[in-house]
Order: sequence, then C-alpha cells, then structure tokens
Amino acid sequence: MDRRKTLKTILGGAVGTAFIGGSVGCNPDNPAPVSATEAETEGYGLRTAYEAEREEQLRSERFFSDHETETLVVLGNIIIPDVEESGFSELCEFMAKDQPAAHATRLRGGLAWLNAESSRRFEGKPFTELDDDQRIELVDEIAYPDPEAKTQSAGVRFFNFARYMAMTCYYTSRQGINDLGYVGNQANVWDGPPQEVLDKHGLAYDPKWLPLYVDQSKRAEQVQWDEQGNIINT
Amino acid sequence: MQIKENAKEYDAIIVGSGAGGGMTARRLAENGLNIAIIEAGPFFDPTDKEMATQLRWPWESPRRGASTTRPFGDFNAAFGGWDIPGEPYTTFPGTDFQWFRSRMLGGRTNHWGRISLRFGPDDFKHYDKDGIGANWPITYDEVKPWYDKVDKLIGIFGTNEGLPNDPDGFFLPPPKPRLHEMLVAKHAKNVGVPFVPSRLSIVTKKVNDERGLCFYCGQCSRSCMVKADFSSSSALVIPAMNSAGHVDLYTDSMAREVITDSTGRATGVSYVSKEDRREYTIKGKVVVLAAGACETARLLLNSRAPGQEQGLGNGSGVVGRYLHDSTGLNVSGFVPSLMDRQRYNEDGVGGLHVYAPWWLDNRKLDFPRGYHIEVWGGLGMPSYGFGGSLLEMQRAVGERVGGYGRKMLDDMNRYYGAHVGMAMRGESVAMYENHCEIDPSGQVDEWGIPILRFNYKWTDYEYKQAQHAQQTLRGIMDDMGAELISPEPGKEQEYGLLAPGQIIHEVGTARMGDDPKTSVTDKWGKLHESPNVFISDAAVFSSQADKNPTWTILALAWRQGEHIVEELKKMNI
Repeated sequence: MDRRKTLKTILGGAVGTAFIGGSVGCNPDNPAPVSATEAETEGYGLRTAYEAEREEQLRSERFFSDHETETLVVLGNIIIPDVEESGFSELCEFMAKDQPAAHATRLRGGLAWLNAESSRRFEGKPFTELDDDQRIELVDEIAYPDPEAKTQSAGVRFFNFARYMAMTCYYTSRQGINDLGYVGNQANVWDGPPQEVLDKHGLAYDPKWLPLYVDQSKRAEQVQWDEQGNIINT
Repeated sequence: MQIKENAKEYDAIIVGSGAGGGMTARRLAENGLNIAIIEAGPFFDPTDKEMATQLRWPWESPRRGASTTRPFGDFNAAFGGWDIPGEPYTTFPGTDFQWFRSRMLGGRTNHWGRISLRFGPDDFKHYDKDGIGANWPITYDEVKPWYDKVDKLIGIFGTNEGLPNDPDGFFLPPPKPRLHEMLVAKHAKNVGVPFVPSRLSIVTKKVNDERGLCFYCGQCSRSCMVKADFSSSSALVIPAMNSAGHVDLYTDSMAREVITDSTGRATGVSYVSKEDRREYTIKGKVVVLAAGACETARLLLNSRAPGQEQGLGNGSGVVGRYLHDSTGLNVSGFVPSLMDRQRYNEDGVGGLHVYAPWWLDNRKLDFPRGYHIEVWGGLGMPSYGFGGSLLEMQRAVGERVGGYGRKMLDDMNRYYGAHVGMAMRGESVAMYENHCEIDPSGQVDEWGIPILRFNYKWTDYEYKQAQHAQQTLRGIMDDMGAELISPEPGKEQEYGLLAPGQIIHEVGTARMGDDPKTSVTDKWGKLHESPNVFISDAAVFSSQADKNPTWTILALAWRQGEHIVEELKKMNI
C-alpha cells in the first residue's frame, strides 16, 4: 500500500467529514463540533479535526473589548518593556477563550478592578488615561506581595496573574528566548556540559562510565557487540 | 479505505498499532502474510514534515504550547489524552482512575518517555519471591532472546551493569549526563541511592540502516522525524507496509467486537468507520488484539461466542480484572547552587540521561515491591507557564518577592536551570478488585460502543512504598541544598501518590497463565477459549514490574508473531 496515497485519501476524506453531526461527547459544556478524522491547519504541525475546528471557532470570536485590550497593552508593557511586541494582548485574548476557566474572569475582572481603583484615586480616570507616574504609583502597590501574608488583595492577585501571563508571553517569544539565552531547539551533538561548567560546580564524570559514553566522532559507525552485549567499537 | 462489503479474508487482523500491534504487524508482514490493521485514529508518519511538531518554536502555537487539547502540551505528538470528546468512561464511587488513549497510528508510542527497561528474572516470578500477586507462566530466560532482538532492531542506549533484576542487554553507548543529573547522582550517592546511565530507546550510534541518529533536540515527545526514537508508526507499522507482505491499514476505524463462529473461533472483527459512522466487518484467520490493556478488555467484554456470554475468552471471569498501573509521585525543588548558569545547548535526548534502578531488598522493608527514580531539570526550551514559580524562587533566595521590569527579568534569568525534580515510578500489586467492566447503565460512546467503568484503589502496599519514596527523594533534594516546592504530603494526601492511570502503564486486564480458571490467555497470549484470538499488548501481563512496560510488550509481541507464523504454517490455526 502506498502510504502517501493513504494519507491523501484520509485528508481528502476529512473535507467531507469535518462537520459531521453535533457533539455527543461526555462534556456538555463543550459545544465544539466533534469529528474524529484529521484535518490540516497551518502553523504548528498536524492537528486533529477536533483541534482545528475548535481553533477556528475560537479565532472567530472576540472576548476583550477594545478598551480592555488597550489596558492590557499598557499594563503588559509596564510589567515587561515592549512585551506587546511579543504578542501579549493577543495571547491573553486567545487564552481567555482557549482556557476560559483559568483566564477569562481572572483577566477581565482584574482589568475591571484596575480601572475602578484608578478611577477612585485619580479623578475618575481609567488606567490608560493616567500619566506614567500615576500608573507606577498604582502598580507599585500591587506588585510586591507579602509572602508571609495570610490574605491577598484583589490587586495583588490580579497583578500576580498579569505578571504570569507576561512572563509566559515574553519567554515563549523570540525576544524572550534570546534574552534568556536558550540556545537549543536545533540539531546538536551533545558531549556533556562544558568542562569549565563542571569545574565551577565541582563535578566530574565517574571514571567507571567515562569510557562507555558515546564517542560522538564515531556515532555514524555501525555498532558491534560481543555475544554478551559489550560494545567492541565504542 | 473505501471498502464497504469486504469479502476478502486476511491471514490476520490486528486491532491497534501501538507497540504490540506494530510489532505483530511487522513480524507477520515480513513473513509474507496478508494482514489488516484496524486503528481508531488517523494516519501519522513522524517523518512527514507537514505533520511534524519537532523543532517548532513555542510562539508558533497560539497558546504557546499550553496543554489545552493535549495533556503534555500543544506540540506533543499524542492525539488524545485522559479525556477524549465523545469517548467517555465512568468510575465507581471513590475511584479516580484516569484512562489515557492516543487515537493515531502508533498510539501512545509517538509521545512516550522512551524509558525501555527489561523485566528481570524476579519480575516474572514475583509470587515465588513474596507470595503476593501471580507468577507469569514464562521465565526471563524464555523472553531474553526476544528482548535481545528488540534491542538490535530498534536501538536502545544504556550500560551493562550486571544487576540481578535489571538485566544487561545489547545497548548503544549512553550520552554523557547533564549538569543537574550529575549533581543529583552525586547527592543520591551520599544518601545511598546509586544512579546509573539511563536506558532509553533512542539511537545514539548507528544500529542498522533503517534507524536515524539522534540529533539531541530533547523532543522525543514530539516523535522524531529522523526515526532516532522508538515510535511504532515509523519503526514498525510503516516498515511493515513496505515489506514482503500485504498490509491494509484501516485508519479512523473503531473496533467494536470480535466476530466468532458457533465454536468460538474468530472469523473477523467489526468496526465503526469514523468517516461515515457505519459499521463494517472484515474477515481473518487470526485476530490479534493490541488496542491497549483496557481497550482490549473492552473489546473482549463487548464480544460474545456461544457459551461465552460474559465476554469472549472470559470463562475465568478475570477479563478486566487485575488492572494495575505503575505507582508514581514527583518531588521538585529549587537548587540555589544551580543559579547563574552558563548557557549552552543542554537539550540532550528526549528524557533523562541517568536513573536509579531499584536498589533495595524488599524482604527488609515494609512494602513488597520496588521503584525506580527518574530525574528532570536543565536549560530546557520555555513553554506556556515558564516563569510561573518566580515568586517561590525569589523567596527561596531572599530576594524581594514580586516586581516587574528589567529587575524581574534579570531575576528570572538567574534562576533558569535551577529547578530540578525527581519522579518515583514503582510497581503496584495486581488486585482482583481493581478492574474495568462494561458500564452496567448501558451508556455508549459516540460510536455506539458500550463504555468502561473502572474500580481502582491503592492498598497499603503502594502507600508504604510512596512514603518510602517521599523520604528518599526528599533526602536527596535536602542533600543538594534544594528548597522544596511543597511540604511532604501525609496520609490525607495519600503520600503524594498520583491517581492510577496517570503513569499510563496500565496492564494485566487479560493476564496470561497456565490455568484457564484464573487467567485469560496461555503463555503465547492466545485466549484459552478460542483457537485463533491472540493478545499482544500489556493486557497479558501477569504482573507489572518497577519498569516501563513497552520493551516487554515488544519482546512478547515478536515472540508471539513468530509463534503465529509457525502455527499457520503447521495448519494449527
């Protein structure tokens, strides 16, 4: 059987079956249509039809108002400079729909709290209309939780979550990964930590195993064993 | 795929394409047989770049890799999870069993941890050692040649340590350990726990012409595009389709039941097509069930033969019984000596480079079975949730907690790579009461197939083991100077034991044995009550070990495949 042909058959089939029926799933809260054959979506590897349809549906909805989004942008850029360039408000919008229980009310309610607090203290102005000093004055009061405290204010709780979202957004973006110094996710030849790192941490390879580790210069040579399974050409 | 009424009779029909089904398929096809594979999910080929998630960046996902639809993250290769829309299961009151299914070619082998541990001599005869559970009807010596073949075909790295119950094999050379792994191994040794190079089915040195070489991206959970990890799809099923035999692959096909004649002999398998939601039947001389331990039990319990009204092959009443998963718990902490790390590519292989096989003697302990220890940490790729423990880490090192801006980012950059964790994976004891059965309420899944209900309780055997593991893992962390993330869980928290099913090593639901009154299959995995129905997944395990089950599934499936070919040649089937 030609597997490419098989694949095309299935992908072709998915066009016709992508919208079969309504949900008879176990989760009555999940209104997404259910079909089980695969479909393609662009961008990040094969998705099942369920995933692709669900994502299309989420993208067709809008959760935050323009003003909420604007507030997210301003707040996000205070938490991490230019985090909006890493897609902060877009990520908040998507997650509020993708995992509403964990994100929607926490973000929307937190933004509402922020604007109410801003309005109360600064002549009826929402957070976006404050000047920089006023914003920082407000933020400084909620950005440093007391780790010993038994209770937590609404402001601190919201800022903790906004910080969490900003951190996730930044460090999963190209800018943040460069800042962090993560240098993987590419073809590599692993040969242990650099010697100076081992020295700094006072660690050394166990002499028992040192001769047994893969010799990366010979990894493309066919392995050969003796009858007991000892490698005779490490 | 387009077949409506299929008059063809296959030499064999295999249900499921994971480790067991994949190996059986390859053995039968390479012997020139004409086979059908029924797979509940879509086609999947890790080497197809359109399908691959490997080497993608977190920002390519709109949820930055979050686990909304895939429990192990958006780039994980498993289609499915513990909850699948339209495919529910139920539990008895007080049971929290979680059933992970991956509906795709290759099943759960596309994403697993590749920890590939042979069972040892004691693991096949544990009843003889401690009078608990059941012996297997076979010995390590009988299985050893098949483990050897699996090692040489698929490739596994490790070291021959001469351990009595963690046998040597035909290993490829292991990779050097990562920094945190060396640190853990050093401090574990201080408290008497020996770590050794891990044993993972990842190709570190050329093993044969069909497997690729690891390029150290650390992403085996995404299934490897160069076939350097073991995925049943790329290592077994697709090679079977390109072999001397003939393989028809029925994807998106949900097996419903085994069809039998008046004597209990299987004549075929019926399935529901997910494309048109209609039922079809295909015919075969041999039926091999490899749908995963619980799905295989479900198939048997949903099948009938004359005189076998409680399910096909269930005269013993033990189909679905003795369900057991590995025990598991995790401990993690922040290691201040790993702050301010120099950056380098530390991805390594897609899993741990060191582990601790069970090192103690249970006769001197108050619990009967052992566990092994896994380790994680390092300079990994960020994903959704990265930085979520910032406040705990600031607190641990005495920084002002909270903040924003550059100072906060500088803190986070200092902590990167200092979070280390360990996991215990242990053996539970198979209990008659722990089982799955057809839900008596008549509930069906969206394909119209009666669903499973689970009953599962840990016993003192597992609780005492978990207590021991908590103390051991915390002892290692303390010796490293780690700040632990959570306090030691007590009895009310079940000592941190994860729910059964969470480790995804469920086995034992159609156990093999010599006595048809207490077991479902013979030592070849053939039903005692049907001449031509075999099981090649972990349902046949008489007992689990403190090992991951995959390597044993593969060895037994290979052995069974050769047996089926012989029996067909001799006209015994």
